[in-house]
Amino acid sequence: MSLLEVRGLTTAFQTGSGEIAAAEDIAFDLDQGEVLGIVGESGSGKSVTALTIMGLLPRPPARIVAGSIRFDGQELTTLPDKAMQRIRGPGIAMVFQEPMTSLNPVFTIGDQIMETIRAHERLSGRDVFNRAVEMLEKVGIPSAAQRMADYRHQLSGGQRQRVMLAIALVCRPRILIADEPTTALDVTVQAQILDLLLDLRDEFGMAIMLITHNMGVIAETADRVLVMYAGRVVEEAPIARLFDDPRHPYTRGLLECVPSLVTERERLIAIPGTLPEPARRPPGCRFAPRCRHAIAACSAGLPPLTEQGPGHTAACIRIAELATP
Amino acid sequence: MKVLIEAVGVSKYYPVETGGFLRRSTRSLRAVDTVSLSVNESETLGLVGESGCGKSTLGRLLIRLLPATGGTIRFADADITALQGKALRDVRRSMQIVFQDPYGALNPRMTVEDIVAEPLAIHGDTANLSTRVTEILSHVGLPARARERFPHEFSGGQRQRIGIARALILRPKFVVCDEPVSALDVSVQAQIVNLLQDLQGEFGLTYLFIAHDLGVVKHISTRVAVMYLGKIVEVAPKATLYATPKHPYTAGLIASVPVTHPSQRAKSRAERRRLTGDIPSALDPPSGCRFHTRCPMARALCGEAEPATRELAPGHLVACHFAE
Repeated sequence: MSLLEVRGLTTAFQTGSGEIAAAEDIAFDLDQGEVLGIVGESGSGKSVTALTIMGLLPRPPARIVAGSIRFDGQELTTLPDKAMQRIRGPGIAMVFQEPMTSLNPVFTIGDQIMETIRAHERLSGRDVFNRAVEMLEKVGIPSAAQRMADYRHQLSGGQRQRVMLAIALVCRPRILIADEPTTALDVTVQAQILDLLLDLRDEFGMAIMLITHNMGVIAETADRVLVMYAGRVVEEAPIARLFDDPRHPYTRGLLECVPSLVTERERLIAIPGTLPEPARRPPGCRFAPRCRHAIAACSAGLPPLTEQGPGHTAACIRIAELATP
Repeated sequence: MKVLIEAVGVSKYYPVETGGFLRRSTRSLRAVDTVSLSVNESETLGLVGESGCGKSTLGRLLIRLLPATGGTIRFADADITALQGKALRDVRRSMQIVFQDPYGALNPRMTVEDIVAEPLAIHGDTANLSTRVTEILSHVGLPARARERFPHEFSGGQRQRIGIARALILRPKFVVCDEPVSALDVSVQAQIVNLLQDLQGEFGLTYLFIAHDLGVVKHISTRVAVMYLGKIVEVAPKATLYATPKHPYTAGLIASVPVTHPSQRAKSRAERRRLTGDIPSALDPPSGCRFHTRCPMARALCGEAEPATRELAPGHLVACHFAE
């Protein structure tokens, strides 16, 4: 049994033009100590999936249409709010992209870390304080005891993200969901935060679900990868296989279209077209309108995920024909 | 190689009030501090650095969107630092800018035709307006029927095409591209980068390409300049800069870029030569070399004296006491 088992998870939103599924039929496992990368662009459903697991989507307008989320054997989709609150923090914790808006400006960072500890554990005031300081030191905030009294605006972007990590990790979660944790940061700070995440994984043995649009961040950190497009998983593979032998044309396109420091090309290999809006998704394979390999049959029905090798699945009906010789 | 636009010792200081109600004092934030930089005709000069280093400010100073506190800006051999009124408007025809945020940069109440034609209207150049709008839209890959539509009807990538059409309709010589792809989805970024390169060939454009993505900058640039806390620390042809960076900051920046394949991961995380810490405040920059507080090779001299910019090889400029 994996630590987290997601099966057939579909989350939909009530909108003016009817109910629209933001993430459909999502399935994956997450094991202890593992880093699962989830790659996708805007509208891929990656953040919605994460927020569904955390139970943080307001219902309505959001609704879990189908599927199950089992954390350590316990079903989360039917769990009452009170019980879910006890899972959030010590069970599953989350950090968000925007460290600017996710810290409360009128409380000190110390208050915000200590609030989290008090919500889950009965400790004396001094112990709570010490625990918060210890956590701030762990995430690399210098002179942590003094910084406890700082407010959000006194910290740099990188330090804010470190504080967010401290809040998420202070209850020693078994799973950390990191939603684009470095997207708003400079590359130098991004490298620091990614290193920190991996160090903390090694120290606490927690599992990490790392959501990003950046293939470089994936190459740097993940053990296994889920590629999402327009609300569906299009490919899942162990990290080396995904980079060495990607099967889905979208995955291949993503790997090709980003200029790197090592390759040299006259022109970039662009993916034509734009991402479909959730309300205007094409029939059949959602990538078909942008895919240079698309044929009529691609628009006939949703392609199922098929086995490509150990732990490797992809959803494209033309894989056999397109396979690299 | 002919220099098209040039900054000589250009600075931009902003007065900042500090100290609260009773002990108010004014200090200057040195966003750009005595920078000299030139862009050659028909080249793309990449400008990289962390947020807050002053790269966008420098781009705006060059095209006179911001008044400089000091220094000289020369465009096509003419001093344009102090131009005003009609003379300034005339030179601005030749210098345009493409902004980062395709959502914020377009007026939501104006049609695409009005947005793209606005520079023509400002310059009183309204002959064959409709034809010229259609023509420039086709150059950026948008259909003529886009003219009557509004920005919200377009995706991020298409909006960036509208922004590019607006910048090019006056047929400028020099275009500042300020993070033109960083707000776009990765699968769309390559389209816009290719488009910018195609347009450069078609119209003979010269670009200053400001970005924090070192991969994109390497792809599109002829030469690359690296900026840190208001100063240019290194300039070199792109191949030289990426293969043999001489300034420790440039080396640290390049080492921070994520690998492109999992097999290139560093064996141990301690092995990586990462830059530590954050960029210091431009209100109170470190003495001597501004990078010395984060530099792994800093010595006593670095905190005392500001390094001069030296030409280590033809076209390779470095501002570091110890680079060789």
